[in-house]
Amino acid sequence: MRKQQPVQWASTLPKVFAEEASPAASQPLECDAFAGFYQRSAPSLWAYLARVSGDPALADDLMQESFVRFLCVTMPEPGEVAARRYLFRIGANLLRDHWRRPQPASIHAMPEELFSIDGNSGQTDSQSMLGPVLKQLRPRDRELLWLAHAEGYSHREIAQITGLASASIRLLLFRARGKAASLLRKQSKGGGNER
Amino acid sequence: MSANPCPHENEIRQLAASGQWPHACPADLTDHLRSCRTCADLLMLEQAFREDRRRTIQQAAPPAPGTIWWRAQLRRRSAALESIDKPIVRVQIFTICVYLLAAVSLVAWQSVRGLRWLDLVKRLSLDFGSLIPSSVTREGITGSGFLVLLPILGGLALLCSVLIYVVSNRIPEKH
Repeated sequence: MRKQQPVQWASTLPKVFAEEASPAASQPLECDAFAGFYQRSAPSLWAYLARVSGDPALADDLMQESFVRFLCVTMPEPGEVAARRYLFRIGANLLRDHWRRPQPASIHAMPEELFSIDGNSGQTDSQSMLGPVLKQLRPRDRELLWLAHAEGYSHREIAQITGLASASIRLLLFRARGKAASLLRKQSKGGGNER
Repeated sequence: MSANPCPHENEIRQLAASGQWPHACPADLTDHLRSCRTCADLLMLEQAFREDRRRTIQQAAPPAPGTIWWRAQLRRRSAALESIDKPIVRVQIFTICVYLLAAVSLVAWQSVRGLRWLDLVKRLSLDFGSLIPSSVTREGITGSGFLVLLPILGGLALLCSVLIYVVSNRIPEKH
């Protein structure tokens, strides 16, 4: 837990309105530096969120929220690699919160398509042979496989992002990899037969 | 298939990441890939995921960084204001609690002691009764009428505290 700093009115108020003081005042990212980091990191974060959630619109929202939250906190480690990893961690947590949140409408009133991950990702899936495979995997497997194989993160980094135990990542990833590989092989055989 | 990692896994991953497969792949690694199911699966997945990532990234249309920066500024500012407001609210709540406790204690104490302090007021020749409305003084200052007046005064004071709290809470919103 972050230790709460004592608040001094006289020093804090003028700075707040002069846009100087903030919880993130100590972080090194300035507006221009942030713009560069954003341009480099936003597409990969969006791809991760879109592929794991299967919903590009949700990925848009979560990506923006991830960056806003990222700017409002003090980074635990310096450097762009650590910053990107931290950003992915925020995104992963937001995605998990979204799944945990109760749906606002009655479950019977919602169309069936909303519950499958192929809702809005038709364009991506039509171009990719991975799309149908991802749909059949569990969200956690999708998350682990994407971080390991698309982003190239190590087991330790995946553990930091997902919050899972570092020791269990290897086994979970191994199982997910086996499942995805068999689905991929089945799909390529099926595709070959169709032709 | 076993969960133990193959010693060639890192080489396979580097091969896929650098795009050297299949043309620049060493012969011994090609032979290994034919015999090792784990590495063959790994290579297939690496290629599939990297290709999928490349395609998905092309579809990303992130908003301008300025928009995100501006939203973060707004959130930081409201968080800073909230952190200033919190101690004020705590103090106000504490004050109201102390006030209520004092009022209740006074009423309890006076009801037990029988309003003896009013005798002292009479002795000092203060015309305390003129301050009280005639409807209340009809029963007399030492009667049960004063016990009606006391909660009214307390209530008024409490209302003033609540009003001050509401007004002071609205001040930062005007900025």
